[in-house]
Amino acid sequence: MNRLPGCVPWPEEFARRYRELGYWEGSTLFEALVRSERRSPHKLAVVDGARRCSYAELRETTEALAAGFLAHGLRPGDRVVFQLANSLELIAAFFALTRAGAIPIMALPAHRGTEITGRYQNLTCARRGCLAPRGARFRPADRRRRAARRDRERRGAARVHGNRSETAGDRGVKLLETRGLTAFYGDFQALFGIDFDLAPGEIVAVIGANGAGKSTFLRAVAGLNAAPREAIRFEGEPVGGLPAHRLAARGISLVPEGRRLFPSLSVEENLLLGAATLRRGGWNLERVYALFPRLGERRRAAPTQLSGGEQQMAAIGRALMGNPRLLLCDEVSLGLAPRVVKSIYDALPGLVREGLSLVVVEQDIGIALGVAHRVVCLQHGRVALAGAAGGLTREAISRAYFGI
Amino acid sequence: MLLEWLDTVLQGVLLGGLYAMFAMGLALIWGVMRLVNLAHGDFILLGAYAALVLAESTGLHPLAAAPLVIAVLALGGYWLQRGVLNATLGKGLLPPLLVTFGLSIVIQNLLLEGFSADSKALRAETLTTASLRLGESIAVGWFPLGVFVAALVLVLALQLLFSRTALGREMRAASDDPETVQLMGVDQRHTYALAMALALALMALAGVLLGMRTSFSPTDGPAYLLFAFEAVVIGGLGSFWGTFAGGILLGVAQTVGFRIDPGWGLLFGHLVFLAVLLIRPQGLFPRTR
Repeated sequence: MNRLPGCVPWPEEFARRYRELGYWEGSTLFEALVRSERRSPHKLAVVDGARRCSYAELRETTEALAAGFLAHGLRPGDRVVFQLANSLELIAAFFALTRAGAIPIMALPAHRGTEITGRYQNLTCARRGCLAPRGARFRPADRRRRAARRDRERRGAARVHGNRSETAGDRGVKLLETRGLTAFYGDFQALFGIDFDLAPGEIVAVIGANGAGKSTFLRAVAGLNAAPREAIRFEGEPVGGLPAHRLAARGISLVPEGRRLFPSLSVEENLLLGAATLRRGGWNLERVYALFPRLGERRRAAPTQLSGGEQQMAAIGRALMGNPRLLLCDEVSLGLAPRVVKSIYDALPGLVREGLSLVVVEQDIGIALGVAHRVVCLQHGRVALAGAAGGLTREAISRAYFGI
Repeated sequence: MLLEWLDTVLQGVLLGGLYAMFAMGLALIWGVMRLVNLAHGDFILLGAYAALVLAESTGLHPLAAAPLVIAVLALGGYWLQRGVLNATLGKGLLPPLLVTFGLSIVIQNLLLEGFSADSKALRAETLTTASLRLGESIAVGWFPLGVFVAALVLVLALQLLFSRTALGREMRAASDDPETVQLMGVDQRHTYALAMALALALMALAGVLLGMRTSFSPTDGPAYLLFAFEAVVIGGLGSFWGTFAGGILLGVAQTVGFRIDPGWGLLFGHLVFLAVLLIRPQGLFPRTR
């Protein structure tokens, strides 16, 4: 494997500019990765579907990729716009570009060619010595803004307390509501007070960048992450922090990120296991096979023999077999061809007509806007934007997405 | 001469039935919970001693006492899993090893305290001495034959339980992915406890049968753990049929060894085990997918 002799320093101009603006924290992102690796090389750094990657592996990949970039003529200080789905590759590419002294600029999978060109033309980095499109502001920026945000949160918390008696009176109207929902992974706080409502028969899309807390939000609602009891109400009852199997029995079904089919069970056995919630309802094998005919043809196959799209259909079918009232879908489009994604999403509105409610987490904003009644955008564990799917402009979403 | 060897192999196959019974519980626990139970042999002895107490105090035949022994140990297994072993899962291989190692020591010493180090045996009267003549020089004991058939039936039953029933599906799924199975409404702690109860029922039965076949003392557990381990590894961790085959092979190897020289029996068993590890480390019947 090609190893670089040493870390390529960022051009002094950038570092100086960074320092002037007060964003410089003494090292580049890649150096932070190296520090993390030194501290705990085998700790899990990235989870991408079924793929896991430790800090050591991530750095290894990053080194190789950076060497490859430099071999292809990349020079320190170059600006690189890249468009990748939310994946291990995306993260490795980001680190590798900082490693090679270049400036990574992410484009979303949903961005069209013209938008990417626009982004590229907007760049004025070399001249102005900054790392983002014109007019952009760096996030962990000025203290005033942070203080203002803290204030808003405090007011938000107060409002929640005022609301509680009201919502008790509204019982039965909302299928799911969260108030001030927080979530932690050890010391790391992933959610900072999420307020969220879902009416029966509604489809709400939760969007946001990598690490915004989308999956954590779904996991908390499904009972896989700890949550305060009163922070989540389902059918009016406080259910936060209940074990996942009891929430499943109450009618909350999660289609987990990366499908998570059981490899030693056949497709049909996977579906049958979904019925372990023992809930009554209209779902059975025949109906799932009618919804996704491909699954019927492959009922005896092992999940590992299925294509990605078929696996996703099996994961959704398995969740439906439990006759849920609320279906939570975590990135069902991930890694699938657009045609397959369409065939899966085409099945959703029919489900809603039968009284099912849906929360879909999506990276692809186009899909999210197409299928959902309302959109909630998370950013760094907070709700950055919420509104009817038709009433949001791409600019507003873009701002909420990136926090710029 | 040939007939004598045939006889030896036949006796080995029947002994293998008992070893297969030892090994099933171990394979079940490993398969479902990825838990290596170092107290396995001691649980088997616990079954034998429980039957001894019951048989001596009530005058029951050991086989008649077996159902109660099985029920008590199964219940104990359920709560052992829920109360202690579930807490050791998901933190790597070491915590369950340490806890079951500790359990092994505790059980051995309690048995020593309660029953002294003297060898004991379950009195089964004529059942264990009657035999079936198959020819001039070959005879098969009714009891070993019965144990073999019982092991065969139990393997079949376990295989059916795992492949055909909802509980079996839940156990396999909980083994694959303990987090995701909860999303299906399955409390994996309960599923694990049921698997442990089932395993302890098998161990209790194995213990009663062991006690009827041979004498036992409180410190014999680790040896039976070793036999069970060897049978499971020879079989390849894949299926209960593999474990059954592993038990048979181990039984035959030991009996053939004993036939050559009474001091070589156990050694032969271990040598066959090592040979399988060397030549076919994945075992005879590894998991296919």
